Amino acid sequence: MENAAFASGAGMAVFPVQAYPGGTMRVLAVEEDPACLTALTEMLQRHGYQVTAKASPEEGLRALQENLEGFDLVMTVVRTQGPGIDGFEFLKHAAQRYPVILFSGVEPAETKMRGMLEGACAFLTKPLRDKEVRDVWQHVVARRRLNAASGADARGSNVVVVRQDETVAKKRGLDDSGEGGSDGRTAKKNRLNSWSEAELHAAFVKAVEQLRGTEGN
Amino acid sequence: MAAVALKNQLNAHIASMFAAGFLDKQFQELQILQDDGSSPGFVSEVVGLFIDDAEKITGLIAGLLDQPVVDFDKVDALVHQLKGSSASVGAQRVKLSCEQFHSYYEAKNRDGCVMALALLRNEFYDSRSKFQTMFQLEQQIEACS
Repeated sequence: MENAAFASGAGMAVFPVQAYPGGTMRVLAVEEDPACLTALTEMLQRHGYQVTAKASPEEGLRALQENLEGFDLVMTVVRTQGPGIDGFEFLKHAAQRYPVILFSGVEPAETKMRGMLEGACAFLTKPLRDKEVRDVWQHVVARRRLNAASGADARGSNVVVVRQDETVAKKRGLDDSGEGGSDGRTAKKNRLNSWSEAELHAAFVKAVEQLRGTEGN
Repeated sequence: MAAVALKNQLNAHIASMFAAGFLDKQFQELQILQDDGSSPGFVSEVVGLFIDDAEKITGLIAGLLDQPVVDFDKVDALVHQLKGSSASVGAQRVKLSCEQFHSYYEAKNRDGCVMALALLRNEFYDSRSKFQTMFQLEQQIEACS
């Protein structure tokens, strides 16, 4: 996919986001600061992303719940002033299904670590630079590779969707008990289900690093 | 001819804003986005949003500092928000003023915070005035075209 984007002889440069399988990459951008949200939206659109902009994590969560298949990546501010959930709470819901990039003003290392341990694939510091925003597609690709490597469908045979009222709905595949059937595929899914979040995250980070190591500068 | 003179005036004004530290590299990034893209009023839109939001935030901070018991956590959150907002549009002096605020609300020093807010507001009003001059020149250039 990445090679197609830089094919020699192409009359016009094809951005990686436009070469993404299934079409343009879709980003849910969440930010309370209207100036920052406008700038982020413009940057993303300029680089070929399809953007849904929401002014709070609360609205962002509703957007996800109303359209589970509608996004490839989530970018959300961490700290919020308004009522409802903040970026960390939103991360808990979104990271189960999507790669999530957090961003904030200058934060201590502990806050960034928290974000990464709780499932973010990156933690950016404002002001968001055009080059950083341009390259967010890499997190989607890395996540899909990780899912493919682990044998799980990226769109979630073993994904758990958490509704806003905190009840848990199961997507197709697994039961609660973790008991496998005689079906080998069920047993494999149950082994995957036994991975801790830290193990999954470590595998993901490794995949991203490998991806970065193989791309040209 | 008038448009050329106005453009020169605008460029000189922006250059002076950079030289005096009102603007930093982030503003240049926004200008590049505007110049490369199809959104001619993008910079004025973003800066306009920043000005409105900053006005609101400084008012909220003043209100908090006026309370008998100051909620310094809320002050911290608002200053953090304003710092991020100013950084996003390249309003460097406002951003730096927010950084200076930090030690006072960390120390839960109300008088220090009041003084820091006064300085912050000064920098914000100066920056706002410079931005407004910029937009007026842009509108005049637009009118000449």
